[in-house]
Amino acid sequence: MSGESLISVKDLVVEYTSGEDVVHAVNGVSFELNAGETLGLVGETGAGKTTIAKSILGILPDPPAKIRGGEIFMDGKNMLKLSQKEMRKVRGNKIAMIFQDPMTALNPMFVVGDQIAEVIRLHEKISKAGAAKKSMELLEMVGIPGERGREYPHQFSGGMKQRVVIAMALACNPQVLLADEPTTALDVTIQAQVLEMMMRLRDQRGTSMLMITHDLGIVAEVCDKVAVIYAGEIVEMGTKEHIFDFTSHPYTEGLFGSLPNLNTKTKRLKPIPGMMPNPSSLPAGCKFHPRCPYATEACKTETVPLFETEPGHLVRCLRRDPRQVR
Amino acid sequence: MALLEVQNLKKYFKTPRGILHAVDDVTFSLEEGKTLGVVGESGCGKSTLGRTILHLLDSTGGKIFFKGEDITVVSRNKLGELREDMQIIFQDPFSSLNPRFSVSQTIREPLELRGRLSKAEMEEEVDRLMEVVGLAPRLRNSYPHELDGGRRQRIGIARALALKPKFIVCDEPVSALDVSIQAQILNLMLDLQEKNGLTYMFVTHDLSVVKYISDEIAVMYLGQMVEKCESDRLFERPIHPYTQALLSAIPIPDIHAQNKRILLKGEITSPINPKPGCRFAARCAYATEKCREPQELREWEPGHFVACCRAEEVSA
Amino acid sequence: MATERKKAKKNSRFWEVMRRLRKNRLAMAGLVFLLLMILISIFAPLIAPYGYETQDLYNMFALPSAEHPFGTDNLGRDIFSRIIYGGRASLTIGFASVAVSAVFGMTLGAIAGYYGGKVDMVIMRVLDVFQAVPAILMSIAISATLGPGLVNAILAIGLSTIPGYSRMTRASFMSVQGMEYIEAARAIHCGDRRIMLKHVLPNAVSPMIVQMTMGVGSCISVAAMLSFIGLGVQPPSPEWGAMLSAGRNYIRDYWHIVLFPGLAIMLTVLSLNMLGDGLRDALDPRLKN
Repeated sequence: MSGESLISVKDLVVEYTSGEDVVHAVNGVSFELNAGETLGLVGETGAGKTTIAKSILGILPDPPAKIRGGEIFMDGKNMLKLSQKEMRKVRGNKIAMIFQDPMTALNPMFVVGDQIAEVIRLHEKISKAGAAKKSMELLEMVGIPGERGREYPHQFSGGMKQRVVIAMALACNPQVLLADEPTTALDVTIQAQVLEMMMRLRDQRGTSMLMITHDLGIVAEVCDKVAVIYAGEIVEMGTKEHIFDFTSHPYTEGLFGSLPNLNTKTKRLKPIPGMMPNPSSLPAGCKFHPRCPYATEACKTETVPLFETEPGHLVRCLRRDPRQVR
Repeated sequence: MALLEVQNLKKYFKTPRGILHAVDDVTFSLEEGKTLGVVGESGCGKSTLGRTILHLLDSTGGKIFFKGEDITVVSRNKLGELREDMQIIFQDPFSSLNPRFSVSQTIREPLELRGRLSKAEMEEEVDRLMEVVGLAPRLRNSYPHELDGGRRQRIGIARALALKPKFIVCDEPVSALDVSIQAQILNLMLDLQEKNGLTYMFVTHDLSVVKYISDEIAVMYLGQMVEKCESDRLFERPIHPYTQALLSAIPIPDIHAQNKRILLKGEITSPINPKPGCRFAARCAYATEKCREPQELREWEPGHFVACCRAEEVSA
Repeated sequence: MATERKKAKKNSRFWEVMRRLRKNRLAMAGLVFLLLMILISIFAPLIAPYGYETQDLYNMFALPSAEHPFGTDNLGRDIFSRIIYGGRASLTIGFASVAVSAVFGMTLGAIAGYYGGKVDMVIMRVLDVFQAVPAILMSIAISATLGPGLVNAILAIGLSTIPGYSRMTRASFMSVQGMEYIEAARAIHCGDRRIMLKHVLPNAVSPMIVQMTMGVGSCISVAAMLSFIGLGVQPPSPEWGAMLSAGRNYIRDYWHIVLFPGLAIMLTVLSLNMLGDGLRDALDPRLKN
């Protein structure tokens, strides 16, 4: 793993306007994705995970979404300042995205082989025959017989469709793959197949990956580093070992407590009480304090920064404030 | 005596491409106060099984005994009585609530239909039910679209509880929810079971959830039950090759877990005009000639049922 | 969360739709124009400067002037007054025939969509036969059989447009039927009638409201057409289509005789269509907020 930073996101702030309400979807998120590394973005519905990925790819619908601040650097260029035309070159060539629902990414009117070939021809100067041949190779690569490229999306099952989408995303050898819940819609045994394949291709090609998921099991398997997102903020970030073995933020703790454990007999789950705050009126202080079992008066008012408890392990919790004597 | 006994239950659907065997010859029994988890992947017939038992779908064949009485063929009046004892909680808290009904209207409806309570008594009962499932009284007049998934699911549970049923089919009740909310709902369901002596049939594709909540687990594949035994035992010692693959496919949230994954070939197909043999054989690493013959669910060890002719070899 | 927002208990949906509709200028313009036309029709005797039958024989074919804002027709009647009175017949035909076809069409569609199977098959095939004849031809045929007159025109137009409503109702019933809350209602032993009226109908009604709004416009056009060929409302009762028809002989020399009734029909139909478009957007739950 080379440690070179490929994408760096700094203080990203994204808002959505809906009617009179302003939804604070992403509130100052910073992280780096290094070459050859897989970063997991973990969080629940509405935490802002997908918004972050869409900001990187420059495909946020504006309106209603609006990037209010921050920078996203790739190759030394601030991607938020690129023109639509320059951004189109980045998409596909350097960054590609896989969505949760493979059906939305495929056009039901065309055979899948042609759709992959079209993506190749958009980004590469290559003959029609060359692109067709390459699209067959890509299908074989994701474990689909090349001749099935002549079939339409509806002739494929869900898992197969997701493979096609992955083949499409990898068509131009992107350096970064943004995977937004790529296996959530799939059955477990199919999920296992697809994950295995994604990891194999990632390792072969040295692709960096941003893995968006709510499933800590997938994180344990796929990711090197993890960022836990809550209400549009990173509440804990570190290596996989930091997050799983030295869980520090009460929210991360709560997520683990909510999961039934397969290996030990759990008598009763320890869920996080309450629910996600309304992103259009977030609580003051620590955004997790209304649900936190350790919340103190300070948590209700003070803005909590990320504390580095160990090199590379960041926690947004006053209990980890190194200035406080314990 | 078992509260529910299902014998050779079949549910077929006619499709343009042939007969779809959604539930094919399923037999099991369920003791009062227990939970049977039914797991399987999409298209294995687990939801159809629950709906057929509840008479939301008519069965094609077989028998269903509830409290010792065959309920496969019942009159409409009898069905009304039966539905006080048997209820269902749905997967999708978005589509399972009428968007034009307020919270109290939804919970009140089953009571209204019975017409046993006066208006005031009904209101009291609605308040009680809302408290039982943990809905704040101020939400009485809220509409589903104003609420989040967890609260909606609580409404669905309150509606199912309104008639004080003995048996509830839970059709993926937490699959659409976030983990932290999922845990709240699972705990609620366990509390309700303990307090009211409820019997659950818990249908899900999520194996960690099913292990947590079930006493017994039945694994289904393409309309058939391939393995059934006590919950912990199934995870310790799965016999059927499909169960083994299924269990090994779960991503475990533990970075130190040593997980030997069995990757299956191919994907699940739909059970249209199936051939008589084992339906898993095409994807099974252990398949032989013998697997082309029909497989019986047999008692492999006391309480542990497997439908695999090669169980001996597989488990060795 | 949105739950904290206190809402009026009943009619909250109505006001919600109105709130969204208000943002649509075209729809509001349509609504205002329509309300205006309805008010004018109701208070016609108070507003009209002349009676609709009053002849001014010295002033036949008069061009618009201060005395006769829209001019006079071939019999010297004030066109402005006749348009004001004519709105009564035209709007009545529009709304009443929609009511006729909606009641019959929606009932048939609801039964077909809810029960499906053979019932559906029989109803839909009968409607197919019905629909094989163009609606306009059908209304002419019915009207010719029943004879001219306001009520018969309403029946003719209403009956001929039944299949459209049935199909739409059936389709939207079938889509609502797939929702889990219908299954939930069955599970608590809700009867068919109650499921239809309480669970399916309220959730299937939005597209029909739009269709009905737009339908009023097209019915007014068809009524105008019937009058034009002499089958609708009979002279001397004023009706916009009949006025148009009566003026057609003089169109080369006296444009105003056909222009103003034509404009009245056009503007009314246009405003109904704009309102219908706006309603479609306002009722679409996907466009909430």
